[in-house]
Amino acid sequence: MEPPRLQETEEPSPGSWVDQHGDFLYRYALLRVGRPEVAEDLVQETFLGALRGREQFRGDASERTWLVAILKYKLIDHLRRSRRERPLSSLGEDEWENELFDRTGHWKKSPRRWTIPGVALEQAELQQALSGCLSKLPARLAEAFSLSEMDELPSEEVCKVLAVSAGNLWVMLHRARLRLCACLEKSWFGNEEKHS
Amino acid sequence: VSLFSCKYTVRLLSRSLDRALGPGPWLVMRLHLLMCVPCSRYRRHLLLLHDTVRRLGESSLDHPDGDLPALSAEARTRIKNACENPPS
Repeated sequence: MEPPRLQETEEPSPGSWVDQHGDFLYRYALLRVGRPEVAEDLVQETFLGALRGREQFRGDASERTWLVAILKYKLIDHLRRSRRERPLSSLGEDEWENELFDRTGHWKKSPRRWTIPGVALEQAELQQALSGCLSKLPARLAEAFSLSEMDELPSEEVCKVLAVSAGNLWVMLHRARLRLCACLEKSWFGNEEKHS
Repeated sequence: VSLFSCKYTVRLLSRSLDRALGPGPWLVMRLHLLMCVPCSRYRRHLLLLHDTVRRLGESSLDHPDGDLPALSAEARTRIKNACENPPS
């Protein structure tokens, strides 16, 4: 087997690894699990896993890509475990949906017209706003949404990780999207002067 | 929920992002969208959301101007210590 390139060059200390990639991995995890203490633990497990598997690192991927791959694995493992501990019983009625639609099923208040962001800076701002909105989602909805939309995992896989039926997953994704659109409308598109 | 209501249409819209709708639901959705401004707007919002999330990948986590979350000093020290003295 070809020796990993990491060892051909100078060997970085674990401390410098943490300084270099720690914040990035933390944001990556936080965006998906929402809770800072869980994200911190996942980052720690990632670095420990990376240390143990150092010999398997092949120089054809960047160090960060390699760390992100380990983090993804830890994340899915964490979700799988926590869902086994607290399985979803039933979804029930969605209060939020009832807030948005009247009894006949029509919008109580129409969504506003959004201006599609053009320049890169506006797009970056929109992404920031979206991260903020994601952090406000209930944990289960955030997990379903980020696995499906951010990580683009096939729905059968998402169902397995979260231990939900396909029907429940669709309902969860719909609820997440309704909330995210409403949140973005308020936090980003609400600023008419800036974005119209 | 009535088949021609907005509540039902937005459910179909969401579902259509994850898999192709059957011909019946698809037709119901398209006809509703032709007549309903709020639902057409919601559809555009969903598509923008879909698009933005996909780009919310790794590059945006390094955005220099943003007020991005970071590891606390305490967590950073704890992680460094754990790496230097890994549990066997």
